[in-house]
Amino acid sequence: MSCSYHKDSDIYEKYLLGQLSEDQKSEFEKHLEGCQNCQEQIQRHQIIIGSLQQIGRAELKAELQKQLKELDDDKVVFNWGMILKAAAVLLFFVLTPGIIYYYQEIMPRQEPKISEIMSIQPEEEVTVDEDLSNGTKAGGQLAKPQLEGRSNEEFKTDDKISLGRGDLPSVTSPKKGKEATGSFYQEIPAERQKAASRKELTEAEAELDRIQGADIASGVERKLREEQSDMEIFPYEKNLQTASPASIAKTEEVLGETGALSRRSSLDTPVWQFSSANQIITVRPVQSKDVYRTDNILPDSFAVNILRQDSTQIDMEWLVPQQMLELNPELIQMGIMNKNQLNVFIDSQLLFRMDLYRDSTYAKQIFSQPK
Amino acid sequence: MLKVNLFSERQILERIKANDRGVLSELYNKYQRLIFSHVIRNGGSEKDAEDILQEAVITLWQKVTMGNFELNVKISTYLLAIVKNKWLAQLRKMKKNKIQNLEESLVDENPTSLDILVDNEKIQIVRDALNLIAPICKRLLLLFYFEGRSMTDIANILEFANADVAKAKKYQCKNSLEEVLKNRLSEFKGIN
Repeated sequence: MSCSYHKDSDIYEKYLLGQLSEDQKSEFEKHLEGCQNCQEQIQRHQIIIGSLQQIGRAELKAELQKQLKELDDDKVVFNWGMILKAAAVLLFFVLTPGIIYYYQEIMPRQEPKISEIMSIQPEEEVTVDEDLSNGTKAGGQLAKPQLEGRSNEEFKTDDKISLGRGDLPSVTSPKKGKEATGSFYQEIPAERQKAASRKELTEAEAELDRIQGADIASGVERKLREEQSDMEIFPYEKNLQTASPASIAKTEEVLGETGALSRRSSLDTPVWQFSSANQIITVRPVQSKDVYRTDNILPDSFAVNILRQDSTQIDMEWLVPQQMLELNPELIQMGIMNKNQLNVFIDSQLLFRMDLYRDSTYAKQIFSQPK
Repeated sequence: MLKVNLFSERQILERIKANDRGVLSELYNKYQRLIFSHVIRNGGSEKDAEDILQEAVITLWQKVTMGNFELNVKISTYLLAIVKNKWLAQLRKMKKNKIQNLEESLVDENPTSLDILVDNEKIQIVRDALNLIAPICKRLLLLFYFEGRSMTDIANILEFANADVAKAKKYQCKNSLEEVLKNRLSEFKGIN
């Protein structure tokens, strides 16, 4: 059989690709049955065209997958960018307050601390009896000569600032243009003083806000409950007879021998006694020679001499300003915690704290509730 | 991604005709949610959806490049139709395979499509042969036999002077491929 399609190679691919008309297709298929050569050609074209279609599809799919992978990689890069941005923002919000805190809170404290100023100054400037007959020292008295000349108004402001600390009242003094006797004040930059004042004021106001609205007594009681839930309370005992007058007299006599009696106004110094179930605290307030401010506000601190201390009684001497001598002792309440820390509440307004493990110490105002 | 939102469906077809392969991934991303949702709702996995959508995009590409293709519906509808058919076919195949595995029946020896007529070994031989001929020939042969492009399109894409040049080149390339296959496949031995 002669092959009329031998020279027309297009016929094979047109047949396989479905590009022949029905008549052409039918005629070609009729020829194909008897043409070995055309069958071989069809077979070769099937391999080529079929393979190219498979290869073409696979390559296009590979190209699509490559594009998708590149897009994913871009997304990853984009996400990293977002993460970095988020990290930068986070860092900013963490660092900025940190830096502000450092410059406002930490840096000012690296200057001479106000509390240090206040606690060191008296020891340097005030002459205290070196020795008492019972071997105690009357050191650490927090007289504040640098406070002289300040108005009552200033003290009131200071008192507010120094709530719970009792050692910062003078911070605002130089700022107000008043005389400040301590050289520290001139060395502390005004901005630092301002920042310290602001901080303390903020703390104090926060403290005030916290307890504002409650009555004063309950405020103090709450403070007590918070800080000293296991404290043993010693209320004032007006007619306590257990205190031995002899022991007091003896103490006075001994003290007299040391010459320290000159610090007292008279032998009829008031004696306040406070008692709990097991122990009696005897307090003998003595007017101190140290200069205290002359307003009605009680001092931030005062010196204390522990004259006697055993399991049944504690006798002590308070070196206080005149106005404290006039205090009604019924307004005073004592509290002992851990056997070595004495708290003094006066008129439910002030909390003084002193250590009992030292013979010579001072009571420091640590809490004040305005009445 | 912005491009995807900006080009219209008409532009997509034009870009496919112009052999802009970037359309592939753009189509995939644009219709990913739709197709994935369909496949997964019908028991497929995310991997199945990925594979089916890739196949559907390639099928759309092939349909457009073959010419005489009029898109009377939205591309999304068209793609979804392709995906539905492919997924149904795959489900039938999976079901069939399951039954075959259970019954240990014979593999179907009567393939009906051109694709199936060529076994993988021969495809690999042709692939190797394609890499031995001129790269332009490989491109031309794929454009003609896989994408079904006209000689005019091929001339434009491969920057030939005209369709006749492309046609002449196509014969030349086909002969080159057959020449390489002479030594690799028995079917090609003895051809002139």
